[in-house]
Amino acid sequence: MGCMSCMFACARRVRKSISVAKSAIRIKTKGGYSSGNMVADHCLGCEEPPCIPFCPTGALVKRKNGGIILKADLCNGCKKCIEGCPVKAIFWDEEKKLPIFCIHCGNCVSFCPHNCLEIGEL
Amino acid sequence: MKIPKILYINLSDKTYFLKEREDLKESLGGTGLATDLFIENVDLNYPPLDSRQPIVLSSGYLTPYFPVATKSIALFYSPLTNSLGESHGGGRLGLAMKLAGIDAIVITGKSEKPCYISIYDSNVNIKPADPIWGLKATESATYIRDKEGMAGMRSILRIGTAGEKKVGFSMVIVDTYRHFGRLGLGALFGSKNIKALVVSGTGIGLDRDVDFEEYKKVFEELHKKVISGSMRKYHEYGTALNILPLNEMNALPTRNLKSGCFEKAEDISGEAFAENNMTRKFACAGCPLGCIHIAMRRNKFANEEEWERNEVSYDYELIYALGSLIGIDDRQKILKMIECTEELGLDAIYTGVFLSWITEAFEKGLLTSTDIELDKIQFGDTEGYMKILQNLIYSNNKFYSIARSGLSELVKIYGGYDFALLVNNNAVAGYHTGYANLIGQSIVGIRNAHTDNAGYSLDQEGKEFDPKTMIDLLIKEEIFRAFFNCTGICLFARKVYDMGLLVKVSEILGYKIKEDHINHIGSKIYLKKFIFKEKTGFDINNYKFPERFFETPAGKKRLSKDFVQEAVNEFKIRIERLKREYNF
Repeated sequence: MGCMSCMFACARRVRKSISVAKSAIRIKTKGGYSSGNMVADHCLGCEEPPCIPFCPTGALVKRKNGGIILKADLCNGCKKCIEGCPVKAIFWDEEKKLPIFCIHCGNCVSFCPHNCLEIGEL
Repeated sequence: MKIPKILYINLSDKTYFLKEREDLKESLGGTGLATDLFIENVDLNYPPLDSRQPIVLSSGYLTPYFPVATKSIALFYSPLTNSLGESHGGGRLGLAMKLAGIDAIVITGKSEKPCYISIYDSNVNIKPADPIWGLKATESATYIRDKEGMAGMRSILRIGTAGEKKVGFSMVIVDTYRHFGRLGLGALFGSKNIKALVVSGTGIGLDRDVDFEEYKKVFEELHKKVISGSMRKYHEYGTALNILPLNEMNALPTRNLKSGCFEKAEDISGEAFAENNMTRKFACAGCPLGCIHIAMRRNKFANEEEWERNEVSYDYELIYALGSLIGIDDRQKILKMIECTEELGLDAIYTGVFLSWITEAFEKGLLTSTDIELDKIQFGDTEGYMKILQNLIYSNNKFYSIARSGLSELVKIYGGYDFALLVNNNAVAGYHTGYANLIGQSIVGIRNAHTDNAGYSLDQEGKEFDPKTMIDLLIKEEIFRAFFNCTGICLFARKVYDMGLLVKVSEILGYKIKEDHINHIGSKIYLKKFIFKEKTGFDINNYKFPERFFETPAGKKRLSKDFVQEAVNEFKIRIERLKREYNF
């Protein structure tokens, strides 16, 4: 319903930040509120993440069971991984100058007040 | 205290700049900051729609850092009342302003041609809006959505044709289902040739140096409290749940308040909408509760069985104003009326009061079919009302030309003041509950809105207050709300955030406010606005009430003018004392 509780939870619990802009999940409408539906942009945990080949410095590593892990010390901040994500689920931390990735922890799910999100094993 | 960052935009010369106002640190945010910015920018030598007059938008100082801190405040010189205009909106605006690194926006001047304002990280682009000038508010939003980025992290404000035509009770729509509804902000937008405004940003600066563990702990406690406590009712049925209890107590204004009881109240109740029409709920950004109730309206848009479904938001006030007040007892027809006000961009409450007055004025022979350009109008005539609203926007006959300025101008020409449901030229909300509601909206209330001091809620406690006690309680609540509306926390959560919590959450963000200082802050804001009202013509010694408020029993009893006069006298004493106390 667009309350963004999941986004606040991600920023708070994972990024240790009070800024909702640090969230790795983004809620938006499916073409305006009057379309009647919301969508969540988040990492789908691809088995073969298409963002990895876009990284020129090897900062992205395949995560067991899907998705990626960021080696922050190798990242040069080129933002090419953002272009490489076909579902637009990589975001940007303006303060740290690093990409924001989902770590599949489920904190967003536990703070959804109306059971709109769920998490499970693939 | 944080130093507020103000974005100033001048549309006449297309300039803008961001300024840190250290001198306004004590103004906090929301209504406190907006009041100071408004008073320093308004020019009483010119009328409300002069290009020099400002539009001030201010995000609450706690928005969007804590649950239900979602609000932003608009202040402007109201073309409807020629006095202080203040309206509160939710949606994503408060959040989006903070993402852009802005605490408040001040817009002055006038664009030469229709424009929309695009703000991203305090950079401003004034873009042409010729293609959407003349379009419905709903259609213009689609255009902006396609042109601008940051879906989900932006806020889009827009007006309908009512704002373009500078109708005194035109509104600004915020993110489809929220509004700066009251007192004519839409006309201010229209007068400056602004069709829409979109705000977004990267969020740089949104993070703050706080005691993070304390922040997290308090945030999560509040989150739980909001979703599990007494606020649940706002999610389940929303404010529409009030229809039946108010009808039961004979306080639901019906057919221009000829009665306080609507015989078809069950059919238009919150329960009936929820069971038969509701399709989903939405929330403002940062509110885990979600009180925006959406219903489906089936619309046959052409012959040959051509149908579409439209999603319309409903609330208590809308069902009152566009239902019982104008005698409409069919839920689909009420939704149709709501949708019409959304598309044209009209304040729903005022529209209901406007239509109900026209209906009775026509019944009494004060208006003719030539005036309203319609054979006849009677209570419950949805199609007739739709036609009147179209005429309001497009007709240039004498009646509608005056009507665009509001009912207070119409009654000067056509009569019928005593059944025009106005308080200080603003339309009354849907609670004919008793003295506290009437006095609260008309005399004590700064905006003449029911949410100024919740007199209707005091009446519903069912106690018999003497005038002095009632005035004390109303002023106390008004002052508390003057502070509360600085925070950006939705008034629905006022019982969740008690004084101790307000102090605590403020302190976490670096605002050191002592509990005993809250009254001081609120009093000063209240007085600043009250003085402005006096300067713009509010004269408590010459205040006149329409007779209808006394003719129709409020609750179970008729209101006495003597009691009201005593209360007014008490208010005069209290306000003068307050002025002396704070050297105003």
